[in-house]
Amino acid sequence: MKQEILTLGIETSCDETAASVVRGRFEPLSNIVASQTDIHDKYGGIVPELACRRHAELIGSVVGSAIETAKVTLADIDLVAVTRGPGLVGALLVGLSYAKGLAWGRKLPLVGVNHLNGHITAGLVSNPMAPLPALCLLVSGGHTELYTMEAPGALLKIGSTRDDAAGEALDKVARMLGLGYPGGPVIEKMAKGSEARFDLPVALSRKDTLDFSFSGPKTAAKYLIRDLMATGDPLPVEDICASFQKAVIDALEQKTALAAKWRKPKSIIVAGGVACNGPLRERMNLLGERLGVEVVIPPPVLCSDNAVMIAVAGAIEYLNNPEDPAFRDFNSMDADSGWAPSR
Amino acid sequence: MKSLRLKTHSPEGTIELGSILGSGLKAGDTVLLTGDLGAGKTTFVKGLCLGIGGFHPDRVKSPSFTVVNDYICKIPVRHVDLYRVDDVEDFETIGAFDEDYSSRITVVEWADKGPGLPLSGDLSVSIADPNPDEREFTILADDNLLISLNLKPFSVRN
Repeated sequence: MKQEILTLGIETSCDETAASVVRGRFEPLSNIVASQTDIHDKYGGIVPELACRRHAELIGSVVGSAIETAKVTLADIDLVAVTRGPGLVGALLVGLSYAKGLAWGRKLPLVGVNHLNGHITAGLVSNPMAPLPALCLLVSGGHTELYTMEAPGALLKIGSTRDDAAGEALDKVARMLGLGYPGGPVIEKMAKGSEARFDLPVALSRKDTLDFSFSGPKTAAKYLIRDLMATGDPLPVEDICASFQKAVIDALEQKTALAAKWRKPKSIIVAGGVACNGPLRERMNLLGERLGVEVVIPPPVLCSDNAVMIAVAGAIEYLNNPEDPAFRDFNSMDADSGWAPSR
Repeated sequence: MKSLRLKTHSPEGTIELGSILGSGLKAGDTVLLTGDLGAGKTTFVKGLCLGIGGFHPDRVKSPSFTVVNDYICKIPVRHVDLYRVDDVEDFETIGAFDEDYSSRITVVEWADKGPGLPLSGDLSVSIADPNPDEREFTILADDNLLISLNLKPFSVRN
């Protein structure tokens, strides 16, 4: 085997079609994400339609572009890593079938990667030396969960939302305010420099659970907006955004702090699309300083859905035991739409 | 089909109503839910799963972004959300109704949004939220389901 293997990562679990080439375990050579933003814009940017049928149209060119951007050729690739779940089965199958065909045709090993483990692994891309065990906050449109990680890929779920994910709640409040999609970035922009002067509840704030709930604060925001509209005054959209963003970040910080107190991790990894949020990054870094624990937050391009995280998670798993016959015997590998990364 | 109108006054009441209706569902049934953001559709599904049995309602989550969540209740439940699905081709891709649908219960949130397909439900529930402490349920159900539940408007207290 060469000194440093080249892994091709492929991700099609939800909205984005993505591919990347990674050298060794942690060095991204390319990171291509075909964004669906143009499709969303066609509808006025308000309604976040899915566009999973587009994966099949895009995957060939996205993979080609990942290889070209990395300045390698297909013949240089040593390993294929692909998201096998969780996600939409029809979307997952596009990436998985493509990856299987490619690996079979070129006689390469194939690793099926868990998308959520991928997000958390992005933390190791930005700091491969992050001390373990780590406490991992995974926060996105579809997921809001807390894990402990003893070793790369060895995750244990210790908390989860009981209703809406944080990113979903941000998106829905943005929609109530008639703002664009995706809601998180719009709310962050509107909230900047505004005052969080409306009290919105932090749900499940009691100290006996690591679970989150964002449905209550979302509904509270709805009635706040309804009441403010009834006054006839112009709606203080910026202050509502600041207030709701603060309520979401407060909840995320509170449960992460409680989990850190219980689990005494050596580092805290914050990952997933909502980890792009500036004020959240700031607050989590401050929390780390207060606790004396290193906080690792990947750069935004590695927080939102991407294939670097898939290639890295795949390479780590493969290099743990390259002789494992499962990497060669992938004919029966199937998409797993509900695959939990936790032991 | 029979229709029925009920009110609840707390999320717990909504879960209780859902669990009563859920206890009468059988494999192959489809439940269609409509109602505005924050009306309580996902809360109602927590109740349905409680009534079907074998699954903790805390594990029922909104599928708005994930689109499809599967729950291993006594009868398997597929929880679908059309909040982001506007297009017939996408609807086919998400696999809401695949070849196994008759072995599970399919629950569809935002059933009125979707790509305008003529979905038909054994149970259709529309939720209105006139104020924070009140939810109005308009329930359209298969006659046999209502008979099997012996459902009366006053059987829900909260």
